[in-house]
Amino acid sequence: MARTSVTDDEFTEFVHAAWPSLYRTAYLMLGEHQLAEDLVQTALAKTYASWHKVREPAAAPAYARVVLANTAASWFRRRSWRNEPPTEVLPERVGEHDPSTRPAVLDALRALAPRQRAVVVLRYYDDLGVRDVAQALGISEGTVKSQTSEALARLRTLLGDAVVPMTEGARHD
Amino acid sequence: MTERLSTLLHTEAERLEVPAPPAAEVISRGHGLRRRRRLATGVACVAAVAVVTVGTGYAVSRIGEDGGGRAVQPAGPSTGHGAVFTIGTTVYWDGGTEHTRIDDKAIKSTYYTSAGLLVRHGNNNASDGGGPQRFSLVTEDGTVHPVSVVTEEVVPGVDPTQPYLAYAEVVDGQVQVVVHDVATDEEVARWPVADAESWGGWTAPPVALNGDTVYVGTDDVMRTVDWRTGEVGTTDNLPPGYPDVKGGRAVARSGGQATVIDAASGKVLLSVDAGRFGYLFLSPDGRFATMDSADGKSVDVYDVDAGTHIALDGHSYGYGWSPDGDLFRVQGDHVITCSTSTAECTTGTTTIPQEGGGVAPKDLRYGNQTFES
Repeated sequence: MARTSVTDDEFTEFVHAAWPSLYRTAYLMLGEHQLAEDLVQTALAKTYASWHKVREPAAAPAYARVVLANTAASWFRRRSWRNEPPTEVLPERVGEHDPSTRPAVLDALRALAPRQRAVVVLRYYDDLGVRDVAQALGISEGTVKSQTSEALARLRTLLGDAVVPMTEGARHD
Repeated sequence: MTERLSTLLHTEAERLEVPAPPAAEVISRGHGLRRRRRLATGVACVAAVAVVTVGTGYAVSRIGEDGGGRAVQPAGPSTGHGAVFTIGTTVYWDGGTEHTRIDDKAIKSTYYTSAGLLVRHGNNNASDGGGPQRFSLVTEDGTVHPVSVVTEEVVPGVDPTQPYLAYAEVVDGQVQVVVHDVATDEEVARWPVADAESWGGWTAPPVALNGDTVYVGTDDVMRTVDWRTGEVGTTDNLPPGYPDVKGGRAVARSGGQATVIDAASGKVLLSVDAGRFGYLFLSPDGRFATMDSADGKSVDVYDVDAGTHIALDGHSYGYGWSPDGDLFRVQGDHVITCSTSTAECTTGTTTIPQEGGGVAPKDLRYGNQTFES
């Protein structure tokens, strides 16, 4: 049985528990602290306002994550986001420095278009399946697959086969 | 395989400095959103499907499934379509970068819902007297889902935060209010409206939908129907006749003043000197209102909450509102977006594909903008 409302104390507790994980997802998606904070705040505020849709408290973190992705997707559709060019100065190829260093990985993410970045983060950081990513971002499963494929191909050129191996699984999953 | 990528992402994420959660600010924003949405209350403590029957009416609620199987979850006031408009039978969204075709002769109007863009179409583009009004839902991936509702000469109502289409029809001489979930294509409520005897020149009273309330525009008084429970009432906050409620707000006139009022409380939120003929038009979410100048050459755009306004060239019907509350217009094959705070207008770089189609292939209509009905 679900509850229609949540008290402010209960929701405060939820915010404290969910914030770190959501913030990390948001930062990986957006690559900027202030934007990440704003995105998580917005997502949690929407979750609060839509609490009646949360079937049970245990489902709230997952619900909030979907709200976050959905909100990010709506941001990406705005003109300013659509016009955001991927980073023009790309990190150097693997082999010239350690691909596991922070700048290499985060810079490589910045080299992706916003929606590709979101797809990669949701799939390989939050471990969501194709269908869940499609629902969260409001796009088709086919688009998730094609965006994943393109993103991985680009990441492969930046980070090398050791990080993103050339496999059929990676190309089509 | 992508395990290495996944590991690196987790490693880098764990290294991030996470700021302290601003719980109080989040809750404050949540309160504000909740007020704006005025969504359903008192329906969650029910099992998967609840059927409530009162008199000869009924309401069906699917808890936690707003939007149903084909809706993009979670539902919200924005469908993400960006600038939405139609030319002929082609629907454009996302600022004209995406488009799809409706398989009918003409589009009459479109409506923002949380499930996607609801398109009303038929044999011609007339809103009134144009024969059957058919409906289709366009979801964000461009898929067109036929909706089984067919109306004729009625004024439907939508609430952009919900996946519902509300309308009235007369069955055996009795006015009934119907609420249809366009995401699941199922009728979820049907209630009789006793004593609704006369209204404007439509086959059934015009309606507006806001949250749980369907406003029914009858001649003697504005009636209200709680579509969750079937409770029928009246309100003096709105004048009888045509219900124009958006985002919980409505427009009215009093003396030489045009006002925006809170439909639930009747509180005046904005009052504008309107002269003899001035009239306010609300944006789909009720946050903004426009008024044309007396000479018809400019339009004032008011931020209802802030009380501020800007002026733009043209007239109200020359602009559309995106689901996100952005102003836009279409000129030639480009979308022009205008800021509601600075009045700055920017011409988009996207060239709109000239698709047209149907019996009125050049007919441009902006999203959520209706004409006669």
